[in-house]
Amino acid sequence: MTTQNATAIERSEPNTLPAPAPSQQPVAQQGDQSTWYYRPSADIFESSDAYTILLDMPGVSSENLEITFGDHMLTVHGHVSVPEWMRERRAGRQVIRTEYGIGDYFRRFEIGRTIDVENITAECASGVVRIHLPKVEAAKPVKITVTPSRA
Amino acid sequence: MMTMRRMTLNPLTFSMPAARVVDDLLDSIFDRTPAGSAEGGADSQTFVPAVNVWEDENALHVECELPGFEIGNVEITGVKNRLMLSGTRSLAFANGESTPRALFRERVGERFSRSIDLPVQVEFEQAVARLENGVLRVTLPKAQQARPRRIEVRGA
Repeated sequence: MTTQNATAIERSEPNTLPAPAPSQQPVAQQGDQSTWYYRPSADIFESSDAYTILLDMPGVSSENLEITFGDHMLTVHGHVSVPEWMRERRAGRQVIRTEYGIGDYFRRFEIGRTIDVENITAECASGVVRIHLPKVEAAKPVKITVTPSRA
Repeated sequence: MMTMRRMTLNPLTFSMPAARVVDDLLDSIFDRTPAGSAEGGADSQTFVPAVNVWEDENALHVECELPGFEIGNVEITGVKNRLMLSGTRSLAFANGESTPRALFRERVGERFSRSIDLPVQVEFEQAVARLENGVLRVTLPKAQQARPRRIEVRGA
């Protein structure tokens, strides 16, 4: 049983990523300067028994999504192939407007030890990735019954 | 909250008549307002998504990233040379699920609205729209007169 304890989600970016990059700007992963990623926008919610991370990753389906957890780091990597019209020029084809770029998504979240790492689940629908991080029993709030003192 | 991908409008890199380049630049200024704002339908929750537009001989293709939106909640309207897109999504938790405390929020709003001026005449009746993995793709066949036509050159 390797369930770990203490502290909460420490907040998103580990030191390896350049500090507050605007959302969805390409972000370079350290150690590989030639690879560019888009940083997906995220929401993080907390309930009494779990954390939920929602990520907007349009173009990603579950088979192109890789989510790993290790060393207190949750890593989300979504692969999106650049469409042919954007990649190659062809006679008769003309690009009229390019307002957004297309490519892989990458984001990492530092996770504290209140998470029951064995039971992290994720799903992907309509380009939104939803990661469910259950808290360990010890981290859940416990209701304490207050009995009136006899005086 | 209306963060979106860096706009990389660069019509100048493509060989286009000068007038069209100017048109596109003007479009890019005027387009980026919600289509419903004049009717008071827009508010701070409405975001304006980025679009990619390209054409081939027979059709115009409009693409737009709409994560979390379903095709049933997206409205696509064509009037003359203008395409209007709008829709709603549920931002976080489905009905019945209690909404937990938000620790951190970056995702854009629940409603979007966008209009695009099209550079050629299209047949809206023949348009096809698909929304797959949060990416909307609208194919607008060009009107016959807007398609390139091969002209037979006969020797005298």
